[in-house]
Amino acid sequence: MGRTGRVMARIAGAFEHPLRHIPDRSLESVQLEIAAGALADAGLGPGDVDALFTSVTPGGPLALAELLGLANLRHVDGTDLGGATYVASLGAAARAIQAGRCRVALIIHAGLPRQGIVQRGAPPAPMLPFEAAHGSTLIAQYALVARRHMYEYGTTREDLAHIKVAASHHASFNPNALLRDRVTVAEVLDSPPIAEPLHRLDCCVTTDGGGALVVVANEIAEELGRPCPGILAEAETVRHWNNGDLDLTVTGAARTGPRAFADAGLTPADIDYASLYDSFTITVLTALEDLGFCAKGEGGKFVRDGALHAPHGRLPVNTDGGGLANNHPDRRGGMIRAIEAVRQLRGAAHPELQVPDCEFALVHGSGFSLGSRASAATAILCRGDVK
Amino acid sequence: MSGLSGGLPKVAVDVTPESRPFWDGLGRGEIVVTWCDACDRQVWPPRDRCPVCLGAPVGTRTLSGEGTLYSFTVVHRADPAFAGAVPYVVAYVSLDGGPTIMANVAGASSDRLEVGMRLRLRAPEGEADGPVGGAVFEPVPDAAPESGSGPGEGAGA
Repeated sequence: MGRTGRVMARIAGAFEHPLRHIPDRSLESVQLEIAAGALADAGLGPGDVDALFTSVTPGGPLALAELLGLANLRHVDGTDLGGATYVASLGAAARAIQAGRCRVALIIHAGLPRQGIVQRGAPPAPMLPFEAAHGSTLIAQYALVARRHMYEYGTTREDLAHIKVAASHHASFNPNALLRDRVTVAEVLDSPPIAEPLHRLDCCVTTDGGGALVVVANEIAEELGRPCPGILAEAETVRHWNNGDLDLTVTGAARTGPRAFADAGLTPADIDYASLYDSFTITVLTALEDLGFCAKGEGGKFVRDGALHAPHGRLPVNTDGGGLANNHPDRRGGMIRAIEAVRQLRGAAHPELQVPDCEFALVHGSGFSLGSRASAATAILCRGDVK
Repeated sequence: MSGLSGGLPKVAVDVTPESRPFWDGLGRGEIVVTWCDACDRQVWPPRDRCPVCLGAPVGTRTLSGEGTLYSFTVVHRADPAFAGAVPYVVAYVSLDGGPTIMANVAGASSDRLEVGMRLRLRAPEGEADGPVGGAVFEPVPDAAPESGSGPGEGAGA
């Protein structure tokens, strides 16, 4: 296969909170449950953790470290890149481990948006007034991307609907998924319009909960005595209005994909499974193109005929049901995307959806809005037996 | 909020010293964008240094007020300030000789809108002393789509 990259660090623990609606608990209680779940999965304890990665959380990483009882921290990172955050954190943690700054990194996210707790800010001046004055919404901005893509490449609403159909098919196997009913292309098309051409079933869910990952140095993984998926590469970027020179159909993935593949020594054809951030159906379509799984403009063709369906589609995507059907806690879906990739590489996905011989997986996160300013992060992971 | 423009609310937004020329221009029915003379290009959104050269000072330039529809959406679920206006059109308009900006489009039923069609800024409506509202464009009557705006063409690049 000609792979030249080396394993930067390994993922020893992963935990996705099982609930999607948590009305009667504090954020702190949920954070503690998630940390405990991921560390138990890794076979480690809070005393082993020497690095903390999080994003927006009340009191920042300082208060979170105190809450979680992390007394041995040597590296702290509170970077927020919206939905790309925790994909980027995989790279940041791996690089910090490679640099010798830490050996056990806890990457953690929790949110309770259904309790009305919102942890994100609006864009600042000078941009916000130019959106607010026109009644722009987040969904409207993604709809602008979809419409332009339809104009340039002939993409259709039916094409986008296939992405939701695949997500709902996968979610039907996930007992924890918020939306477990399979939907048809016609049902997506007939759902109420939110911001045309995007309709309700083109949009992700909003859920409480979260998840965590434990990233460790290679020698720690060996001590743990079981295969731990490896981190081969991670690349990130930001795209924005670019001084009024806008190109809505090309996303940050066009930069992060090629860099991540080059660093991993792999090509899109080597990827057995992909977790693609799916805030909206168009988010997946553009990522497929820009990451190189198909040519630019051919995402619509690519997603037809069950291509995204596990286990035998051309590229199984989001086998937990994704943000479109399973889980999208606090609008930062990168964490949950990464956790499902870990399941696939461990052979621990749902038996009906486990990709056979899943050796290499890609995780792509997209933050905030492809229709104005967006972060992107791409990580490439390998199975635990890959050296 | 006060008044309507093309059926859209005129929402009060934060006006900064850097953005005032744009909003004041809209109130007169003009598109005034910040301009870097050194780079001979727009500064969008307005700020007091050019993001390309980080040079200052920057001036302003009044554009023709016409442009091309780059993309649009018909919004059915709005934030509270616009909830009474649904459905309405949010668009990106590629201004002739200037940036691609967010705007609204009125004066045509949404099923008559097409990416690539020619648009012009609508004349100001309503009270002059309240918020000016957003940039509201309307189709240029009997204008064919601009030949240079076909598939594959980026906007303003």
